[in-house]
This record gives sequence, C-alpha cells and structure tokens, in this order.
Amino acid sequence: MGTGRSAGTSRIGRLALASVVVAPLLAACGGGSGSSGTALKIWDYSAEQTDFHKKVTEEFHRQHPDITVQWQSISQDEYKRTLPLAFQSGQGPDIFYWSDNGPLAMSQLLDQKWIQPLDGGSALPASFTERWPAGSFVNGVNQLDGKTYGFPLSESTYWGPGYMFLNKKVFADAGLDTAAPPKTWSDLKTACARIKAETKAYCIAAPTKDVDFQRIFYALAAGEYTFNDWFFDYRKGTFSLAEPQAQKVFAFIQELKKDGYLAPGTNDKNFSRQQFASGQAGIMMDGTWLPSVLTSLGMKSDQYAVAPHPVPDDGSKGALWSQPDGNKYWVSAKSKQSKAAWTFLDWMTRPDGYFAKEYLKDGFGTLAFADNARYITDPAIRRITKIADEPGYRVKLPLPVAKCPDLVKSKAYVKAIGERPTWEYEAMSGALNSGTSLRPEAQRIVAARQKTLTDQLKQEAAQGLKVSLDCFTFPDWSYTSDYRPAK
Amino acid sequence: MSRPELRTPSAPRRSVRLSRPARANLVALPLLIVVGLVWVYPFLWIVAGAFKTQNGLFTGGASLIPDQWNFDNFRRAWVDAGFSRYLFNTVLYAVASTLIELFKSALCGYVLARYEFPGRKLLHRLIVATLFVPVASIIIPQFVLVDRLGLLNTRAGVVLAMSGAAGALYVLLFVGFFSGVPKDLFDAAKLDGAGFLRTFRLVLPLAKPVIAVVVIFQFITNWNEFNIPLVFTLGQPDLQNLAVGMLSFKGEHSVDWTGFAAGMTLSVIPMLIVFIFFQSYFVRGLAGATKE
Amino acid sequence: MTLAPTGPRPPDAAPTTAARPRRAAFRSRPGRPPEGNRERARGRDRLWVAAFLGPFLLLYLGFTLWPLIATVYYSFFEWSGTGPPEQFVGGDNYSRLLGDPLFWQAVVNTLLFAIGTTLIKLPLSLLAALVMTRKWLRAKKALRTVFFAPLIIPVAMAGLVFTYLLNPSNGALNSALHGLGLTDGTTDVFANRWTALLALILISVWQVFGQYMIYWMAALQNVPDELYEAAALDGASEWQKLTRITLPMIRPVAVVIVMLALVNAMHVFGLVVTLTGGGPGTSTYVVSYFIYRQAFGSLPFAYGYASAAALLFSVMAFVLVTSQGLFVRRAQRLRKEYGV
Repeated sequence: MGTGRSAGTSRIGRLALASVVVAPLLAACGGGSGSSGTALKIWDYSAEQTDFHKKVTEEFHRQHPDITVQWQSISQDEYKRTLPLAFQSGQGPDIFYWSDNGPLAMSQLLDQKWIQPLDGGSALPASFTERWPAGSFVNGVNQLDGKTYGFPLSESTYWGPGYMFLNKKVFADAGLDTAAPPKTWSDLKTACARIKAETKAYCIAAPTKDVDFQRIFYALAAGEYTFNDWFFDYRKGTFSLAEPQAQKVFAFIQELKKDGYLAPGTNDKNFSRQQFASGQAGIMMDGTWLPSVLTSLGMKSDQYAVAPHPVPDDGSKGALWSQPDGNKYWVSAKSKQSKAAWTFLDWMTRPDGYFAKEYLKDGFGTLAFADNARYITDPAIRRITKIADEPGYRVKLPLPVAKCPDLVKSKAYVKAIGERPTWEYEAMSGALNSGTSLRPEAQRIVAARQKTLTDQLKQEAAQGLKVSLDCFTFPDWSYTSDYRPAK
Repeated sequence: MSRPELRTPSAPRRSVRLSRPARANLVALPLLIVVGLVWVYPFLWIVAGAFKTQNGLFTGGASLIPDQWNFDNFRRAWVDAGFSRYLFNTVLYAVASTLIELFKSALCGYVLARYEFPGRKLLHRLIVATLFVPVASIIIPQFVLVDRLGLLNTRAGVVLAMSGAAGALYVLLFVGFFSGVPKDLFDAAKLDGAGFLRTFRLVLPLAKPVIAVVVIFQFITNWNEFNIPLVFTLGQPDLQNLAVGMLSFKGEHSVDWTGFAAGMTLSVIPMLIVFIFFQSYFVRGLAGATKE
Repeated sequence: MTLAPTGPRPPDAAPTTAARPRRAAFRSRPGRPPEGNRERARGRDRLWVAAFLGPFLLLYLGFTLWPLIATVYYSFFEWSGTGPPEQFVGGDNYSRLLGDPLFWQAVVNTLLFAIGTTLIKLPLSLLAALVMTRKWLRAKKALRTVFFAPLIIPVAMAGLVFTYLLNPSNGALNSALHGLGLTDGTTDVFANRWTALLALILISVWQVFGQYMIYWMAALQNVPDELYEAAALDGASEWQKLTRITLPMIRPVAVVIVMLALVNAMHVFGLVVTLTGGGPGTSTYVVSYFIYRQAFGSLPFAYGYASAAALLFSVMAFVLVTSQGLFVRRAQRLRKEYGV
C-alpha cells in the first residue's frame, strides 16, 4: 500500500513534469502548409452549401490547375466575430461573403478597409458587366471612383421575404384548396378559422423570436406600404414603425394571435419551419430560401404550395422592396491573390457556367447573372419567380446614394440603425406577448433613430459633405411602383 | 475503516434483519433513481435524437425511441463535422492544456497557501478579481499576443491560449485545499528532514480530489472549446477541433439538429470515460494521510 | 490504512490517542483562520517559491492581466476591432452605458439570475454530494455519472432540448403538465419575464448541478474521517456532525465554490441566446448578451463600448460578491463573539 501510494505521487509529479516538456515540443508540430500554385481562400456562412462548394472548387481546379480554392463555411454567429480578427492578423480570406445592410455594404467595408476593387482596380471587360441586367452596377453601391468592388450575386426581384407557403395536407384536411389561397387578410382569417376547426394543426407558423419576427411582418406589411429592412420609409424620409400603417399591420398580427391562429410560443425560424414541414401548421410566411430548407427537412415541393402574401381587404397599397443588396462576395483588402480572385469570380459568374447551373439546379436561390428560368428545376422556386414577376409585387426602392453621392462617406444612416440593432423586434415581441400596443415603444425607437440620423447628417454637412435628410426623402415616389429618378 | 455509528445503533429500534446501511439504501436508492432518471432524461433524449430523422426529432415529442434507426446522422457527423480529421487535434488540445493547467495551478496554489512572501496578498486578490472578467471579452488582446509570439496557426498557440486563459479558478481551489491541510503534517515532514520539493510531493496526493476536479473540468472545457481553436487557427483549418467542426451543422437558413446530436453523442464518449475514471478520486478518501 | 512510509506519525501511536488531540483541535477550529498555516520562505525555499509561481504568473500575465489592461485601454476608444484604436472618446462609453436603461435591465436580470441559481444549486448540490459520499450508498458511480451527464452537453444542444420540451405547441413537458391538469396546455413559460427567468434559472441549475456536486465532493474529502469517529464516540448526531465538523472544515473551499457559483452565473450567455434570445422584448437580457449584441450587432462593431460594458460589469460584480463575503465574515465574527 505504501509503495503504491508513493508511486502514485511520483506519477503525478511526472505527469506534471511531462507537461512542461511537452509544451515546447508542440511548437514544432504546427503550421506549414506547402501546396504548389496559388491557394485562394473563400469564406462564407452558407454551411448548407458545403458539398456544393466542394464540387465547385474541384471543377474550378480542373479548369485552372494552378489555382486551388479553399472554400470554408463558418456559422453565421461566429463569422462576424471571427472576420475582424482574421483581417487584423493578416490571415483573412481572399474572398469573403458580406451582405449586411445591403446597399450600404460597400461603403461600410471600405470604411473598415476590408475590401479592394476587383482585378486590382483595372477596368473590367465589358463582357463581364454585360452578364448583369442594366443598372446592376451603381456608383456608391458596388462601384466607386471608376473601380468596381462587387457584383450582385442574388438578383433582387425574386430573392427576398414575402411569400406565403401552404401545406397541402393541412389544407386538404381542412377542406380547403391550396389552388385558391387566401388573398386578403379576411380570407386569411377565414382559412385559419377553418383550419383551427377542422384539423389538429395550427394555422400559421410564425416565428416571433427576436429578428425572426420579420418574416410575418414583412409579408403582411407589404400590403400596406413599402419600406426597407430597417423599417425606413423613403416616401416620408423617416423610420416608420410608429406610422399608422405599421401599427395597423402589427395590430392585425395581434388579432391573429388573439384568435389563436398563430402557433403558440415564442419560436425561432427553425422551429416554425419544422412546424410547417411536419404538418403541425398550415401556413408559413417566409422567403425564397424556404424551398431548399424544406427539402432538407424532408418536405418535397409537391407537398406544399406557394402563394402571394395576403393583402388588406381594400386592396394592396404597398409592395415588397427590391434594392441592390445582392452584392455578397468581396475581395479582401489584404489579399495578395487579386489576380487569382478575379479569375475565380469571373469564372463563377459565367451565366452558363458550372457554378450558375449547379447553384440553380440545387435550388439554393436565384442568381443575378444567369437565366434563372432556364436552370431552376424546383417547382416551388419556379412558382416564386412567377409570383414576383407580377408588376408591383416587389418594387425598386429609391436609392439615397444615387441622389446624394456624398452619402458614400456618410455614417449617419449606419449609426442610426446601429444603435440597438434589434430594438424594433424586441418591441414587437414584447408587445405581442403582453398584448399591449406597440405604439409607445415604436415612437421611442423612431425618435431615437431619427434623431441620430438628423444630428449626424447635420454634423457631416457642417464638415462639408453634401448630405441632408432630403437625400433620404422621395415624396414623389409611389409605394407600388419602381422608383425612377426624375432626370 | 467503516464508521462506528453505522454499526452501533444509536437508539434501539424494532429489530429487523436488515442492517442499517441496507435500510438506508432502501429509502435513498429509489428516490435517487427517480430523480436521476428525470435528470438524465434530456441527455438521453439527445442521444436518441442522434438516430432520429429531422422530422422524427421534431414530432417525436418526449419519446426516446427513434422513429426509424437512422445511421446517416452519424455518417454526416463523421464526415461533415470532420471527426476523422479533427479527432487528433481535439485529443491533443484537451490533454496538453489540461496538463499545463494542472501543473501551473497546483504549484501556484501550493505556494500561495503555504508560504508568506511579499506580494502574496496582492496576487491572491488579483486572481480573485480577474475571475470576474468575462473571458470572451478579452480574446482580442490574447489573439494579438499569440500573433506576436508567432504562434498563430500552430497547435502550440492553441494549447497555450487554452491553458493560459482559464486557471485562476483552479488556483483558488488549490489554495483552499492546501490551506486546509493540518499544519502538524508539515511540521512532521520538516522533522523528517523533507525539503521543499519532497514536502510538496508528500502533500500533493492529498489534493487528489482537486486534481480530479481540474482534470475533469478542464478536459471537458477544452474538449468543447471552440472559440480559441476557431479564432487561433483561422489560416489553418486543419488545426481545428471537433467543436469547431460541429459548427458546420449550423447553416445560414437551417440547423441540422440530428447531425448535431450524432456529433455530440460521439464526442461525449471521451468525456464520460474521463469522468468515470477520475471520479474514483472522490471516494478513495484521504484519511490515511493524517493517521495510521 | 497507512500513509506513505515517510508519514509524520510514529507508527506505534494508537488511533484513539491520535484522535483525541485532533478532536480538541476541531473544537477550537471554527474560528481558526486558514492563514495560520503559512510560513515565511527562507533560504533556498525562496527560489522554490519563485519557481513554483513562475509558470502560473507567466501565463497569467500574458493571457489575463495584459489582455485586461488592453481592454481597459480599448474601453476609452470608439473602436471597431480592426486596426489600431484611434478615436479617443474618453469616458464617453462609460457615460453612455450609465445612461442606457437596457444595460441596467441586463444588470438586474443577471444579478437575479446569479443569485437565483446560486441559492438553488449550491444547497442542493451539497446535499447530493453528502449523499453521494456516504459509504453505505449503492450504485454511487452510476448515480454520479447521471448527475454529471448534463454538464457535457453543448449549450446549444441543451437549449434545443428545452425549446422542444417546453414548447407550448407540441412540447412534451407542456403536455405532461396539461395531462396532470396543472396547466391549460398552452402555457408559454418564455412569454413572461418572471417565468422565463425562472425557467432559465432551473435549466441552468439542471445543467451545472453536477459541477457543483463534484466541487462539494472534492471539498468533503478534505475532512479527515477520524473527526467523525471522534464525534461519534462523543455521541454526536448526524446533524451535529454536519454543522460542527463538515461545514466548518470545508469552509475555505466553500468560499471559493460560492464565489465560483456567482461568477459563473454572472457570465450566463448560451442558454439565454438559445432559449429566450433576451425576450420577450428585452425582459431577459443579461449582461453578456447585451455586450454581444452591442459589439457585433452591425458594422462598425462597437468593441470599445462592449469593452466598457464588460469592465463595468466585472467591477460591479466584484464589489458585490466581495462585499457579500465581507458581510458573511463579519456575521461569523459576531457569532463567535456571542458564542453562538
């Protein structure tokens, strides 16, 4: 016993010693990746496309043996925290994905000194830009001082929120036909009453947790007025959550909840989608990405139907928005592989190339530079494109930076939306749960954001930028048609 | 060794043939088993989820029986989460940094508890104070440091960061323990002519329970750690570990929960082994150290 | 039971005589400060002391102290995390924080959470540890593993389990409560601030329970058996043994455990993200979630502001916990003075 114990002692001692010895040794076994040719690193957060990316990189390498692409997907939450560190230490990717704040992305990324122009800033061949419809390259959005920094990946007519998905089985059980979807808010309530009475399913799977609340709000609000994803109303030049239209939409959602038409609980989007896919709910309002998600949840496209979002009984007074927010892949400022990056991006955006064909075939979305109708096979996405092709379903928003080019250097709008970025959703989820009015908190939000915006604009104007609230106001635009600047 | 009170009945009760320990077991065990089942149920639910389909997981409710035996989840965990690629790194990081952690905190804790030296109080207070700083909020300067040392994208850098960041806590545990060791033990050792190192080696086994605590928790923490491996090996994804690999189940638009569950099920095994092995340190008892 | 051959006690000493003086020691123990054990290092021992402190100090300086100082520095800048901090704003970040009602709500919630979990998990886990170290108990290993198991589940996964089990539309637990007639079947615990906080507290207790059970078990091992034997000879009851021997003996470690429990609870993050997302509204915002949202909400990231929030809260937590420690110590001193 005694010897056993002392042996134990020295074993621990030895373990402890070993750790000191091991530590320096470890230094020897890291680092050093030697591969011939150019290695091109791409980062994004589309983990569901990992297999697709693998195929793409293999195909590209086959055609360009001198370039090896390493395409890495990091989950979205981590991505944002990781990227700054990567850039700071000079080991960031050569190409990275960034689409936050849509049309503002380029000026923000430039401000952070994260991006460089495509092909090192040389003039791009016309054959490249011609792949996109006219008006896709906009000064202040993806071009600046004659250099091009980005290109639209997703097109912005089909891609976006605001569609209504109907579970065929639930509808059939309720004696309803998905071919005659609810068209108005009243229709929606009638259908819900039916589903509630006739089936065990809930009517609407609506995520209300945090920012996921936007799914149902965007879809229903599009019948009332037109705003952007920060609730900014360009007609009035103001954040709009306190406006009567927004209040009316929210009150309607509260009614749906009170009547028991929303699946209970404060669910996130994943939960609601599963609820819809498993037939526990008949209706879900979501975006163009839903078909691929439903496929991964085991729901085939013949098990559900897609319909336009329902509009108020007296007709639609608004639309969903479209803005140049499809610019997603950027070349990082510190990349030394700008030539290889250009070669890859040029290859990737060929309208009839491997990337376009496979991307569309796999149903990951719609592309701005390819003939979507030709390659999309998923019936649900085809149906979505038909819906969005209807005039006035999704309209082009005014573009402040086109009106005031100096806005590229302005931080006013970014500051205004950056203060408590999820405030709107917190207010909505709070009001929905407590059954109280959204108005008081909405007024506080609007007042705070509007004040930051105007104050900062004034400050910047004083510093010589030609900016003002006027840059964000377009009174002659109607909510239901594309904005066209008066020349 | 058994305690006298267990053998000598303190109050004469009705005579039953069952011994007192047996009776105590009869009362305590069923209760503990019921509580334990409730306790472990969510855990089992996840393990069962590793065999379910996405839809089955969602609609199965409380059921522990899979809707179908779906082994595809394990295939995805093995391939997509990179188990085959990352297992070596994970083991290396967990083992190496646990050892370093144990080594540095045991030494420091011993000295802090045993010796009076200038700055001791200050150091002790600093350690306590820094416990309150959320580790996540100081990762940028840590990153800068590892970068300056030229250890970014090396396994050594990850191990160093993992074992450097935590640890104040374990020092305090060791301090608490060593200061509880009776002084006569040290005096006796001194009488025996034991020097500094010999005395330390003599009393270190006393701290076996703390050692077990450090090993168990540091091993689990390091095994599941994903911030450091993610951030410190950005340029070298081959050096990442399983926890980072598991992130691949979280997509932009959906989460592969059954794949996640399968990954967790696989990755839980080493931690359970470590626990089952080291938990015996809690029962062996230290009484022998201070008496015959 | 024997000690290593170098054992300090003469082998011929009878167990009872060994125990007697120790019992006397135990009677006088409760007030005895652990500081009594320390001696001044002399001669070559000084080198050893330095050598023993070395590894920890080196890593501590590099990975805790220096980063902390850097964070203090960042907190005076408006800084997005890339490039050197340039835009010095002085105490602006701090004054903004002090005037931010959301921050204060997060602070209150965090404290409620920390105190709530600590009050529940520590006594319960101590009880469990006491039971789990009984010699008569069967199946100890299996039972301990059972209580330990939740600890190794990644937080995201733990969040998922309870999202599914507690959900009002199809949650198993919810329907079980409904089946028992306790609820109407659509109870949404996360729809109300207080029930949501309570749910967070209970789930967190469930998850970390094993950790504290293990801490307590480790602490209990420090109590020499012969103290109990001596007490038994004196006819002490189990309760007296607990309050007169066990609790005083594990006090040095217990202080650490209480502090750890509070500190760990104050850093709660993952469960809040996965279970409530800070909602409904902002009613379950906690400080780490607030920091995360501030820092990474949108470009440009607000590292400076987030650093200030992290530091401010750390200081507040430190002051609170240590003042509570002082309070307990004073209470103990008073108790001793009055001979209670």
